[in-house]
Amino acid sequence: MPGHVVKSTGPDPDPTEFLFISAEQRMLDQTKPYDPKKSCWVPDDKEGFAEGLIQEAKGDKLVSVQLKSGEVKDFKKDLVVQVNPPKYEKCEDVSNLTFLNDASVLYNLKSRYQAKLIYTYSGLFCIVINPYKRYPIYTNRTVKIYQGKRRNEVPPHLFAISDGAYMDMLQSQQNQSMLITGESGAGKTENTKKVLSYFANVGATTKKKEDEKKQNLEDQIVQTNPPLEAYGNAKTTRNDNSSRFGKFIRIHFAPNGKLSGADIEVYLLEKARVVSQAPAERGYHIFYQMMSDQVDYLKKLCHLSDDIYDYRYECQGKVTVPSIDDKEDMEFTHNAFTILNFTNEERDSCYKVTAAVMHHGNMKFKQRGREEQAEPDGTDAGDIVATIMGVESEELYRNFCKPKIKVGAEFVTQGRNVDQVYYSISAMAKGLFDRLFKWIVKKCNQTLETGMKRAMFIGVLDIAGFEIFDFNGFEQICINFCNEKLQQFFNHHMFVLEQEEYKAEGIDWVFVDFGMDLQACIELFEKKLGLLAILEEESMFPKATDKSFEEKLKANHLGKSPCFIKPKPPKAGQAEGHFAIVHYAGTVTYNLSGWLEKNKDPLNDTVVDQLKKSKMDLVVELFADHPGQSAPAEAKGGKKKKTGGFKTVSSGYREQLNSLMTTLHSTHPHFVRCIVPNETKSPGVVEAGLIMHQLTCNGVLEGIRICQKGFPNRMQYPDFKHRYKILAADVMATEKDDKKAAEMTFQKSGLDKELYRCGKTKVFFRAGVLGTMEELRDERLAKIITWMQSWIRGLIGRKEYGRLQEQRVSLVVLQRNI
Amino acid sequence: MAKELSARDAERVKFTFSIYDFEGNGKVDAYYLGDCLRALNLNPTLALIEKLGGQEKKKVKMMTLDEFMPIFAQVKKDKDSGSFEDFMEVLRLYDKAENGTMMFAELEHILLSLGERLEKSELEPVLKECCQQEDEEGLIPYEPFLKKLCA
Repeated sequence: MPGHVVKSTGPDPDPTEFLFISAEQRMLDQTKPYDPKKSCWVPDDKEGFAEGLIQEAKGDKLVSVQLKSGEVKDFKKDLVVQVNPPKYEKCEDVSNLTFLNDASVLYNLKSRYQAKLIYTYSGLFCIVINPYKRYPIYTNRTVKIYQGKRRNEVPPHLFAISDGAYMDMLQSQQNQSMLITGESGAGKTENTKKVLSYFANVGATTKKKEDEKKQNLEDQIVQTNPPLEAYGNAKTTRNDNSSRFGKFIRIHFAPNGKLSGADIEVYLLEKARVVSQAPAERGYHIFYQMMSDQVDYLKKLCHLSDDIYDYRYECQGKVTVPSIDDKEDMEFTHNAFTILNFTNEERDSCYKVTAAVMHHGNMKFKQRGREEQAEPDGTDAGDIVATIMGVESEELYRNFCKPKIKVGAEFVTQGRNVDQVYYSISAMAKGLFDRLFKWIVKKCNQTLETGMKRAMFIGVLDIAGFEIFDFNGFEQICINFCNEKLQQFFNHHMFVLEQEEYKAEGIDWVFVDFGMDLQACIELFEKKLGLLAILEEESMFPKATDKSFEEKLKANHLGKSPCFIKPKPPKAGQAEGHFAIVHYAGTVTYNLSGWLEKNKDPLNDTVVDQLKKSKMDLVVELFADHPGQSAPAEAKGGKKKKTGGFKTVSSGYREQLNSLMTTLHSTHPHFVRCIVPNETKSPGVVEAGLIMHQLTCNGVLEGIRICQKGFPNRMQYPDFKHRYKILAADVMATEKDDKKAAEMTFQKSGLDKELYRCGKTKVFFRAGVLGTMEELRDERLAKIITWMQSWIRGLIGRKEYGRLQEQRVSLVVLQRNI
Repeated sequence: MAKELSARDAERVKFTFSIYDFEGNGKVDAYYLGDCLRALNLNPTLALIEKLGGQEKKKVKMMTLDEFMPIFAQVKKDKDSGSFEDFMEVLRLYDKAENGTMMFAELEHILLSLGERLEKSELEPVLKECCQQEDEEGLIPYEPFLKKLCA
């Protein structure tokens, strides 16, 4: 796992340059050329936006702008937006910018990122851009900078958010959550790990030495990572250590704020990767770790050869990754199992089942004569599978080739052709691996259940963000639906907070619940006969096909819901779609081929029955919740089957999601948004289009849109007075009441009343108004400073004059003496 | 215009004018307009000097005492030229601890980069003379500085 940090022994390096803007940089930034009336952003193909100077308006619609290159071009008026004054350069919170346009947001993030400042706030969001480099900003030394500090006292950082969550929890005794989302490769998992170790650190129980033999909880929490990553992470084109599942980890605390346990919930592991990989990608790390010879007895135990290419399922793409040392990682995984209290037998069983998955791919079949019936083509691989899994090989082959099915009340054998058998073998391999993964999580949870009192928790959600690809299938609609819900949660939360603040400040303002903006789309999924209901129904219906599913969807929703529309004709490179959904992040075209099959996710029940009777405990346990074939009699009643344990993927996911949302609603949330800056993993390089797309998908721009409807900039009266005193020095000096003084300053400045509100403790500004205030202030400031400089010039002049005078006098004296 | 000046002022102006009359022909190079005014205890801004006919180069324009007298009178009358209180108000903005101190480097920075910028070479001796030694954190009390400046 590239995520491992080797613990250094020396003192922690100085993180300052990665957190604070240097004085030199600040001075440089302040002197950048800027004209409040003329500086502007215009669209640019390469950079997203380019800075220019407005030359003149051309009629009502066009503006001519001089670009940095000297070239003068005409732009549509609404495409030309304002640039923030230099004082906002590398601003720590983009929502404090006075001009909140896309160009300014991108520019601010970009210039901070290029100055090695990877964290930036955007109101409630903490944005982090993947540095593709290790900055020393997660050290104990850094932790000390953030511990116990408020957000505005320290530069933006994940630790500031984490510490905020911890302090909030202690103060309010309310559960907290941290929602970490982003595209693959954006750094979600890395940031999640940092958050977990931060909490493990601040909540650590002090008595470490007493029982050194017994593993301490903070280590165990952190040590869940190696096995989870070994079994759930893989190399993709984007990311060498990509998590192929979502997770929600709750860290529980005792009433005194000390760690008292943890639990993990996982979502939708990408199963297809177990049996096939794209050429530039790789299967789950564990397969290659096990082949690394790190654990000496492993290959013998698991009947593995020395060549990964002997295992068809795991060698379709890359088999090594330059940034990953499989041998070292196997050591981490192996040790972590021990730290997590897996018994040696459990651990080895786990390896054995993993190997069995690999051996599945080598089972061979051939067609018998002219019949549509498959039969074993050699039984070596199957013998190994059977040996490892504690079942009979011959029976295994028979069950795969001629499973029993139920017709009416009786079981009959059914012949399978070669394709069908291969299909059910790969389904079994995927199923096994998926179940094994869940079992590891379950075991971890048992260990992390300490029996100590769980008074409150901080939940950390690490889940893929919104996805819009050229081909969007079942996986995408699942993840996008989840993100739609999370965005609604965010909008609602933001709305509630804003409303509370405006109310508390006694400001008159009519509210709109921005969460409702997303309601139509969510209903399309969730309502009766909604998209999910139809998917589930069709998955249960034996005769349903992709075609019938498509027709049913269209009959129910096309033209009836504003969010369900016909797909646009595909552009070059895009796959044909069946329907499109209008998500908050954009309209996505979905292709529904194979969804029913994926959703049913069927296993060969006859084989399952056999495995349920395995001699190996782990295998029995893995299938304990599968009804198998010999399901109890009550499952007979046709429709009742659903309650008999058979669940579609979507219904299981929906249940998980509902329970997640219920949990989240009971918490105070904190939002972290991870961003991929470029597609080449290059530090400091920024691809504008890529980032803008993510800012749209992850709700940052949505958040800003909401912001702009209200009063995004606000200032406490004392701060206001301090900053704008020089605008009306006389009033401020005589008026003791800060609020009245502020009101009078506004009157004096002649600012439109719609542009600001005076609350009880703060002044609220509409977007852009703070810029006007700053301009007024800057003018005044420049005037006084010019005077001061004139006085200094006066002082210098009078000195010089004194000298001249002396010269003159001595000259006169000299003349007289001659 | 000249009659608005007191006899004493007129005398001072005459004397100062004579000092800058390097050729001794009753004329002063407009390049020295600012210097003359400053010598007479005024603190005109560069913008004002330029407006009144001051020149950036020598030997562009010469002025007589009769031309200079009303200029002096006008600048002297102008009250909008800043005061100790104004300066205090501005420097207080940089007083982060609100204890009467500010970063020396910041004082230097604002004078070098904002408004009618000073040159480092001209500013340095003035700060050396008027400011106290900065402490370990680079802070100086700014009131004494302004007092000296406005003395």
